[in-house]
Amino acid sequence: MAKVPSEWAENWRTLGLGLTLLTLLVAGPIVGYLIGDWLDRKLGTDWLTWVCLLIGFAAAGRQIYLLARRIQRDLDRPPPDPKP
Amino acid sequence: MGIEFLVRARRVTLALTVLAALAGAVYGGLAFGLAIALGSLWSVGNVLFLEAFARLLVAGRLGRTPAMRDVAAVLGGLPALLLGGWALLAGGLPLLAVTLGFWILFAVVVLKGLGLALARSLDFATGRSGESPRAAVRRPLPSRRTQGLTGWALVALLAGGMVLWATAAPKPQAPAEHPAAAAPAGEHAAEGHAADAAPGAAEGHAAGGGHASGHPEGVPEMPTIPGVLAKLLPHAAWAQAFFVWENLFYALLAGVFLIVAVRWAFARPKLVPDRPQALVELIVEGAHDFLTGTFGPEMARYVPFVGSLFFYILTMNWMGMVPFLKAPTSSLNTTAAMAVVVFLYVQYTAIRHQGLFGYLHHMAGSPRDAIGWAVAPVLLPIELMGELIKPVSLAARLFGNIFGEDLLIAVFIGIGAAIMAWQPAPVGFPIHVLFMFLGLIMSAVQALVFSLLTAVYLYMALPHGHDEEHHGAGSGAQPAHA
Repeated sequence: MAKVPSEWAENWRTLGLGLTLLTLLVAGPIVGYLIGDWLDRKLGTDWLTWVCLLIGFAAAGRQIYLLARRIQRDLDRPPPDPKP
Repeated sequence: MGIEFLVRARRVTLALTVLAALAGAVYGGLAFGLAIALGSLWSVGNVLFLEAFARLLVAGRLGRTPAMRDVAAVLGGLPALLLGGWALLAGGLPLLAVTLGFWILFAVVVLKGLGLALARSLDFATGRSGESPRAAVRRPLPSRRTQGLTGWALVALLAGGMVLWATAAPKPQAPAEHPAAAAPAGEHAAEGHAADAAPGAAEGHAAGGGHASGHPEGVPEMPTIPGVLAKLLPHAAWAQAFFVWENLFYALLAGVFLIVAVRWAFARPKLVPDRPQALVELIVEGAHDFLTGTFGPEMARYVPFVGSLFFYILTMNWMGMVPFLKAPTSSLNTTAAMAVVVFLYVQYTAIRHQGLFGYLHHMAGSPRDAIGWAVAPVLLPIELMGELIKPVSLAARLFGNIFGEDLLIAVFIGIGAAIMAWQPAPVGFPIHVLFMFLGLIMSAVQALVFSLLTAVYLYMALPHGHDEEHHGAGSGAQPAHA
């Protein structure tokens, strides 16, 4: 089976993770706003939009933190032992 | 477990029927109790018929002489059951009670099955039995031929259901107006002849089918086969329904195309592959190397899912470039459906690897001390929102890009038709060709982005070798490399 060059794989990995970070950062507040707006219209309130928007920001931040920690742990992981 | 299981279930059902009929007669009146009893007896009659039928089949397979009682039960049972069912429905008995009676047998079978499964689990857990309950339900997969036939039967069933629905559905309001109200974009731009005959001419669905049908109002779209049929047959309900459901049709078409292509390439697999087989092997190997090289060897398990997703989306995106076809991914319904599938699969993967309690622990912010548990109610909505972001971002991104790309091409086809409107021939200036090349590249990029994000979400759901957050959190936790 053909081996993937490590630099090539590293570039794709960086691209994927970068895209994910960007997507989560943008989508979090939008999803929060949409859910909050829907809840406000359903329940007749006017403050849930702001609360859900804040939760959206926080959720995006937390997901990015979890992903960054995961990447850091992967980087710290010792390379597998070469086969004898 | 076999016919004797059904016999026991039948006996329990009869006993329960007596009790239920008595209770029904006392609390709901005589007719109510009688309806429960008759409904239950009718369902037991069905089981008796099936038992006789199964015994006949077994006797035939073993080469034994079938029992006359079974032959009589099968021959006389079917008309008797049909007549009985008709009499039950037309007899004026309370239908709720008849239905309740009919479900008694099903409830007994389900509860007995659950009881047996629990008893086996308990025996295995306490060491009384060495047979794992998981092994009891694990069966070898049927042959590829059976799998293929089942798959095609499901596709045919779905297609047949769609046709039936389309012919039986009431005439949709908006698309019925569509052929009369829709006018080619070229007509607005110039004298009205340029865009009429050109296969790639932009067409405005002025009478919007609504967003739910995937035809946004007032947005130019390329003509499609269902669109043309709806225009040619304005009074045929099936043509209008076909037009409303065209995204589903094209999504199904893309799936069938991929299945047929791969089956054809692997019709007779050889040790030294021919060109189609070599191409498919190259693609599969490339997808495997890409995912495992980028995210680690534990991602090998998800190559079929992510790889299929990539090629399915790519096929659907590129369908928008073919005249009279449409990219189903330009409808939010299609992209949302795929995003929901990804979301459910990611959650399943997380539960599978972390265990249910580990998953819930993670959703509560992985608390380890009193302070952690105190802030868990705050972190729970944040984690829930974090999971909800993922499918929404996937669906909206793919829909927005492909919809925008198709819109751009349709608009430029209209402009090309307007430029050439000074001459009588039904041709347009091919100004859109450049955007079609751009669309080919962008379609591939969007398919890659969707698959890449799916891979990252799966990667985030997998436990790490020394990830403290998942360590010991769930009792049912499994190693990542299992």
